[in-house]
Amino acid sequence: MTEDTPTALPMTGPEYRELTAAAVVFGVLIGAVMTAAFTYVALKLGFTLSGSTVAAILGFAVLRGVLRRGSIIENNINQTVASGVNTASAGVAFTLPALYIMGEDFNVWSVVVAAVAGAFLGMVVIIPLRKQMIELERLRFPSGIAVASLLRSPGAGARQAKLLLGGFAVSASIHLATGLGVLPEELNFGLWMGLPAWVSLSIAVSFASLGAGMLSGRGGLPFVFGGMLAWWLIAPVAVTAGLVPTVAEMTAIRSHSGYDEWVTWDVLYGQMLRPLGIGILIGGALSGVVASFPALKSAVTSLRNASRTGGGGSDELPIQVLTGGIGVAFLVLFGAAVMADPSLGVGRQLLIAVVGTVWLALAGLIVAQATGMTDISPMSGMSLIGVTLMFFLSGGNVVPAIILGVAVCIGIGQCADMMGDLKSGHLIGAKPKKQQLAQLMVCWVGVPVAVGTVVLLWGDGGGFGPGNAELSAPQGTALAAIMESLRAGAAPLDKYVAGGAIGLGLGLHPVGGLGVLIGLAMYLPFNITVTYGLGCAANLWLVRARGERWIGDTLVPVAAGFIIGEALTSLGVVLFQLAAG
Amino acid sequence: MNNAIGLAILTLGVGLTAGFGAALSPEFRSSLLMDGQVELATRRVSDTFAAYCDARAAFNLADADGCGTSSPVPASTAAALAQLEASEEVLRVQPTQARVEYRIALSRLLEVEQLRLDDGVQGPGERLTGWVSAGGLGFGVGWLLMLVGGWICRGAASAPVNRGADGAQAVDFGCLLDDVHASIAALAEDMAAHAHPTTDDADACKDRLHAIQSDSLARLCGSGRGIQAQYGLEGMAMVFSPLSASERKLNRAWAALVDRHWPEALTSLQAAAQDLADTREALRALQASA
Repeated sequence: MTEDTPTALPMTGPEYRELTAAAVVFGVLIGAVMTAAFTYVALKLGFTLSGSTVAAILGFAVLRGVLRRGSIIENNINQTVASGVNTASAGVAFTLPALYIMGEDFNVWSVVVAAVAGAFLGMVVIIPLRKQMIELERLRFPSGIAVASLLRSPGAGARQAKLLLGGFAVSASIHLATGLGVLPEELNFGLWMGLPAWVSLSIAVSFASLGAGMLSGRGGLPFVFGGMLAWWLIAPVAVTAGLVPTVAEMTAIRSHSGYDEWVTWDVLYGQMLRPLGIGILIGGALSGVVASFPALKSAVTSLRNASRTGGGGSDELPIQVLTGGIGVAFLVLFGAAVMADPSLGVGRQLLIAVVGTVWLALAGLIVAQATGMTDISPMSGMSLIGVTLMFFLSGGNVVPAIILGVAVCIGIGQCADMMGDLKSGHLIGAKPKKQQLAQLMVCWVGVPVAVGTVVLLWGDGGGFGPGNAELSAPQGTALAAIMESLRAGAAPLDKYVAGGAIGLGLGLHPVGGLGVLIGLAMYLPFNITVTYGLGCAANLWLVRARGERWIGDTLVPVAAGFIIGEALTSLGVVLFQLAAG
Repeated sequence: MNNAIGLAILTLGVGLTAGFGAALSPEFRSSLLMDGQVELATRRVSDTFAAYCDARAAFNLADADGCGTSSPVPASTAAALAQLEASEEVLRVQPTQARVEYRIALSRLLEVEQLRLDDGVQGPGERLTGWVSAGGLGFGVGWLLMLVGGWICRGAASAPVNRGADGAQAVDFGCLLDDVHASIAALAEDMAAHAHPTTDDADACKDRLHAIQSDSLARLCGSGRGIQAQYGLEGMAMVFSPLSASERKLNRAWAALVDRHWPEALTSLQAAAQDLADTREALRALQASA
């Protein structure tokens, strides 16, 4: 933003634009459109997209380009609002369809009430964690850095803008090629070498994962170690030592084709590593809370100080917002439990509301830590545990389990989204109080939009689900299958307990977040971990070869371009696929 | 050295616990074997059914047994098999072979489905007790190793507290902090002295600020682990709370300069300078109490 001839700057005039009506209204509009569209995408393809990058670019174009008055920080508010609204799309689309698919009779308003409570709870529990994760632990939040790089681009100079655009172009081209089937989505060296599927030697072709690793550096190495432990040690040993069903034991069938795929994904991943990873994540997060208690205490003290100064002189929200918000959201969650199944009894409904609130806070912490360290969110696993807990607490009743599961899923999403936005805000100097206020005002908006989209698409019945070629609702179908297996009495409690113990034990190590990183690596397919690990290795080598300043000035914009390029191209590819039918 | 030993023991412990933690109890393993047989037998049925329908089509036979437009195959395996066996249609060799393959696949699926029904489903409690008796000992040993390794690493990480009686690390951090504070305060003074700033002034201040941020402030903010090792987590929080606040306000000053909002940039810089002074105070208090 360098003018040819120097012009005088005003010394008085309007305040610096931050939390403005234009930013909020435009953010709500973008967010609502994204919520409806991404809910549809989730029902069709089984995944949603992050709204932060799209919102940042649209906000940029409208607030700075068309209206010609937006500041960098006002753009951040706009992007915070839009992505906060859009958080509901994943939370609703992954859970609510299961109730329709299973043919359950339920009150849709109880879903709306529970989801709104979840959205507010997710928002308020993150308040004391901002200081802890962003200011003290200084977690990376690679997508937050990417969005901040985008927002800072008008003043970062031509060189950094070129690097950002270069990274964007490379990542977008490659992702477009993989999305259209021109390039493979993974480089499977194991397959080319004739190795069985359980010896994982493949790399995901994802510049976003590479960029996330490049931004994480040394901190991401335990994640790679966890993946190697799972897929290069446990998996091959389990198969070759006969700890899992062997091909020779498949006596009732003549052809053994498909054994490798089955044993890799259904047994090693589905029954051993993934549930163990979820357990490690939970144990790691619990031990993290204990280990970082002094820092959390400091964060709460800071909030108390904000209350004493009336909140006006501080950039923090006062403690009353945290306590009052939790109280109100708990009551609304209790109301939702009552509406979901009035026959449960007050004691059980209260228990559901208490456990739901506590689990949401813990799962929100886990997801925020995981995205902060690696940019990867274990939201589906945490929601699954939430639904399982609710299922057992409600005495095996699917309706309240899934309805409260919607609340947990949305709340967890809010935590991760808000934390990423707060990281972007920190890097461009936004006041956290204003960001949080903006998101508190609008976090409920996405709920009726997402629920309404699902209800409309279901129509008179059968609008989505297995067997529907147009909208197969993969995540809802998977949740329905899990609920059926829970009804049959199956739950991997052994793996959750073992994982929890490992996560707790890892809390003794002085480096925080080890349990979360190792658990996350076991929870994910290995090809993503390898790509991420290559990014970490590149960062370490470049730090040594070029120094820290070069990393900040050169590597960060390139890596940010990688993440933004893939995020935006994913949206383009999805739109293309939908248009092509 | 201690850290390396601790890390090695921790790695071994994690490997053992993860390995034994992932292990399956014999009962659950046999239940999975049944599931696997059903899964693979189902796939075999799909393949042979497709081959049978292809063979019928290749010989221009009328649609039947669920192929093409004929009534779909019954959902239950037993009913599907019964329907196929009841058929008296005489076919040529190739479709007959395909139908036999399909029938064999169906009867094998029926067998394993029956075995799975007899096997039942293991509840969460049974799975837990089964796993404890199968892998509990190895897991326990691994867990103890993990704790020992973590403990040694923790001891090694806090070693600078014992070694650093001269407070060398704190002096370095303090010197750097003083440098950053002086630079920011000077920049704020220079900005305050401008009565009629221009866009060129804003660009010059922005570049000066960026240089301070990338050279000294980044190093300062990256030394949290050292401060934590020296003064504990609570001490680190006391120092890093105002330091991070100043970092954010400097970022705000930079953004305001880009947006040509001189008053906001100046206010943010002055507030950041005050936060840096508070950081110095917090560090002094820690050093005095150490």
